[in-house]
Amino acid sequence: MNDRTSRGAPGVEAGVKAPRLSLETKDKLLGLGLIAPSVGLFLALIAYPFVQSIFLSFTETHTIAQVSRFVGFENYSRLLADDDFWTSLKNNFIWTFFVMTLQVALGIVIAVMLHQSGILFRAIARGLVLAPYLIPTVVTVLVWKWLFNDLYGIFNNLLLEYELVDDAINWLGAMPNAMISIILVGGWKYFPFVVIAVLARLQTIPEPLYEAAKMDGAGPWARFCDITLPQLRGVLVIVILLRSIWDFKEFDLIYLMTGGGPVIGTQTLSLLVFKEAFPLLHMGRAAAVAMLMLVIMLGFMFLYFKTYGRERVEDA
Amino acid sequence: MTKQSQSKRAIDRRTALKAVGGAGAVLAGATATGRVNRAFGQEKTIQFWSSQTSPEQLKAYEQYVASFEAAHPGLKVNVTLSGGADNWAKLTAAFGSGDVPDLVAHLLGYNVISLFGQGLLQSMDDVVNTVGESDFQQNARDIYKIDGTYYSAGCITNNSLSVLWYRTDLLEEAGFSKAPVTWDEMIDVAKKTKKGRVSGMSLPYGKSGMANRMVDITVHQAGGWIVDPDLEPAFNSQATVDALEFLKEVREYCPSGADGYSYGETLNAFVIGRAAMTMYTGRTLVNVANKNPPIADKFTAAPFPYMKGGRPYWICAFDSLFIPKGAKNTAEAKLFAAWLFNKKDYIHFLHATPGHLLPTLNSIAKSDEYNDHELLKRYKPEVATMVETTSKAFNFLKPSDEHPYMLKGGEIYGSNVLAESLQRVVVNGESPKAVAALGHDKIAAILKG
Repeated sequence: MNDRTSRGAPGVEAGVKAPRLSLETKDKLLGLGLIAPSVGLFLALIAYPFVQSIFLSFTETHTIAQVSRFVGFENYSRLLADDDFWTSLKNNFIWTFFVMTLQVALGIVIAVMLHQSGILFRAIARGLVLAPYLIPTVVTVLVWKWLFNDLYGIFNNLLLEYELVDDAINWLGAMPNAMISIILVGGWKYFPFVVIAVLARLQTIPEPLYEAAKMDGAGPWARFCDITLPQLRGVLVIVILLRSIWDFKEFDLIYLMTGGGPVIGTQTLSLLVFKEAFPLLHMGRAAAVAMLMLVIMLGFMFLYFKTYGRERVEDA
Repeated sequence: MTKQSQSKRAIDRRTALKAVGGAGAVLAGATATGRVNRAFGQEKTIQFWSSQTSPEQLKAYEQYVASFEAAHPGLKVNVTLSGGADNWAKLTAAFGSGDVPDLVAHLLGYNVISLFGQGLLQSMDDVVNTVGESDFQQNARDIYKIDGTYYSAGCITNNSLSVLWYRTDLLEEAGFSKAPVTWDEMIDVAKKTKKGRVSGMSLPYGKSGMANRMVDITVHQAGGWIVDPDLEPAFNSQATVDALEFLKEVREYCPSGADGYSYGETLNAFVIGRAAMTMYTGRTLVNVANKNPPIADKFTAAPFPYMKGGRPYWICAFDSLFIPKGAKNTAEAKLFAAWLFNKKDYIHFLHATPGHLLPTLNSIAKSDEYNDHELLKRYKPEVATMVETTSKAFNFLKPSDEHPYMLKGGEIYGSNVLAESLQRVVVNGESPKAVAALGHDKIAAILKG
């Protein structure tokens, strides 16, 4: 007799049948088992940090020592009374609006150009246009800071060479130049995302629409305004909302370009979070700024889901 | 096959599986608690962070690591380099997560004191004694000795932050035979050397640590304090107004983009020959010699001018070397910390950026091996000026002998309140008096917590 039979299953030995699960229960258990890893990951990676951030925002927490005490709404009231916060919020909206507008405008123009069948080396151009999006931000910043430099930057050298200015332009150290400069760089870096989305949509617009318009005597501009743009509306709404959210919380590009300066002329809320958390070591206040950012971004999210839902209904 | 053999095989398989599972669990547990090395007699890895990041310095660190590992079988060193403000943010995050490095080098003094204030540093007495307490230069050693304990192994290197570099040929052309000593003289030189596309001066007016330092130096040179010896804010003073007005006046003779300048741009303007004077560290030597040889013999150094009637005041970096509380390999980190001062590798490291980082051990500073370097020989008077200035210098962690340690010094610097005050005056055109009052309030809020 082998080990297994000598010991036997306890239930069998006792002559009691193990309770059998119904198929429905088994299915439910299987479903729970399958979904458990996703739920676990969600709880660990999203829910826990989120709840922790909310909790932190009601405490005074030293970033390094992690010593904290509950202070209620003090962080929020302090922030709302702080001029730096309101300036940062204003800067955030200026940055988000203009950088996003620039990306969308550039993105549409270049996508339409790349969609033309007569364009030379179209496949290569479509690949190359993604380059700014793929270059790491730190490299982008180094290159652009070089271009903007007053002593050896190409922009100032050209302007001085052609005597368009008397003295080199201070691109990053004065306002509003600094804000304009970071918007230009941000627009350049992120417009390929718009190109990808718009180009994909352009390829699905039925050609007969354009042919019919041509037969009716519509010129290129009329065809663009009356056919292309309305057809792009859906994808543009989604692109604009997504980019608004991403641009609103942009940190590295602005931090590396200007550090939020001059003074706090280009300081956005993301930079304020960093400033509170690391140099000033107030993790609680940083969390409070982050929570206020979250509330604003929830507004964008609300718009996104509302629009996305409407698009789906219209498509259906 | 017999039943017995089948039975035996079944038992073996289960036992083997249990054994594998058990071993896996033990390994996972041991690894998680860092005990795997001791359990199996394997090597330990010392996590070493430094904020000196140039390629030459990385090579020097590789030499340090190779010689240390050869002399200490079973010990490995993992070097992580991160420069600028980045290193403080990373270290802060490391403390927050409880996963700190074993040894940290070159963190700036006022940040080190923030850690001390939170009780997050370990005693480095063993290391100082191993290296030789009496061999350290006194101010570089004692700056981190608090209540009889060294919380940093002296300062591993020093770095003169308030040296005026100037072009001798341009000054001579403008009728000056010696370096300016006071602010008024410096403005006069800047005014007369500004010609065409060459500026009289290159200073950092961008929002950066360097602008903070410039305000720090000039306010103290004007006879004031940013925080007084009683640790009360003292920024709202005539000295601050004088310093801001002086810096505003000098701005007229700087390159047009100086409002955005940090370290790199400030130095580059001088190195490429577009400025007659600048304030920088000893890195100027190697950069000019390598990148612009035609002017390599046409520049020299002097202590940064101070306000007439004010006080001669200079600052230096006091680069630290410490072990954070919570480090996993303290004993091994101490071994490596002491190894960083071994003559051969230390000199190799100092020569990686000759003149930029200065030795803090007297035996090294005076040694033939250290001084036998082409650039150090070529620029002997300039190195002497830096050593001289550094020996009298202070740091915001303890702005004077009368001051206690400024436990909030790192926060004041990190907030950029000093750089922002400068920019308010220079870029925004706000009144220095109003800016001094605003800065004072901000500093008071930081000190209050």
